[in-house]
Amino acid sequence: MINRESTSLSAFFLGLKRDTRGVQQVFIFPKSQEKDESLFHRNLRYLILALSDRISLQQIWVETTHSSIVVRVTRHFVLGAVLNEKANLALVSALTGRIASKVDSYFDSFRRTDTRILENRIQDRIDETMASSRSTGTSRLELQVDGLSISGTVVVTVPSQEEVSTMKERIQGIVEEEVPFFCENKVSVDIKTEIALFRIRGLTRQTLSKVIQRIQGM
Amino acid sequence: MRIKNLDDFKRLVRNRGTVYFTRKNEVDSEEYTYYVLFKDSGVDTVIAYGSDEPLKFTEGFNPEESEGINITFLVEIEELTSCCMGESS
Repeated sequence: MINRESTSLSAFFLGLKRDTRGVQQVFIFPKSQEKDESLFHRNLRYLILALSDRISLQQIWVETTHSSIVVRVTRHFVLGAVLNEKANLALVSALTGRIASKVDSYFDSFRRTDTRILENRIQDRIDETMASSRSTGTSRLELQVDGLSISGTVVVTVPSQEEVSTMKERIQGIVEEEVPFFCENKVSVDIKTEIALFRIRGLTRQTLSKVIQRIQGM
Repeated sequence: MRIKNLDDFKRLVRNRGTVYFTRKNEVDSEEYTYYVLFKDSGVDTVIAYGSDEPLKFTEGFNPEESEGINITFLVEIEELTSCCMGESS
């Protein structure tokens, strides 16, 4: 099951990227995947493969002449962070270690989980968000999972234009936390406003017909 | 990390189970990079040391002939961390 703990792990990973001092980049990629990967991922994976011949590899610390990299190797993934000189190595090592210790079980759970459960979790959180902001809008979403890629659209309708940017930020935050951090997130968030609809409702049938004709002619 | 001479280098890697790698920069012949692999507090560590001078190893040790991993990966990781990784995830 995808549960609160896994959501917390995703939030933890996002926090490592956004909030940890000295962290330039974080990365996670499947240990075995070879296609569609960046040069950095490929080289790091080859390096780990080469090192694995001589040592039992769980963590390596790569200090280049430019920056440093903490790398954790799990059963399924290679994950870590690229650091600058401001980073606290012990802290980053502890944070990546915590993620590495749980990511494989999270991945195994994810593979057994129906996409609808993920959709329902996101839907529930959107409903909670809209209720807490006293928004009277509506929402719908549809997701597709293809290996380690999740795509789809979340459409939310809000009553006023003023709510669009705030709601979009909140919904994107929910999606980022709920889509497993080891997946490629291709989910788009579309916030619509009901203002246009209200205006159309106020039109006469004749005027509405003209509007439609004008739109079709554009 | 930048080192000035062989003595500095030896002090840095002293008493460590070490494998050395070296690479002469093809673009600028005065740039050299030495890679050291060792275990520190249970963590496998790879460090790149830059040097303006080629370090002349004595005691019968020649880094270029030592057994080791393909340093191309390390060199390319260095180049990527200095540019691309800073800009994209």
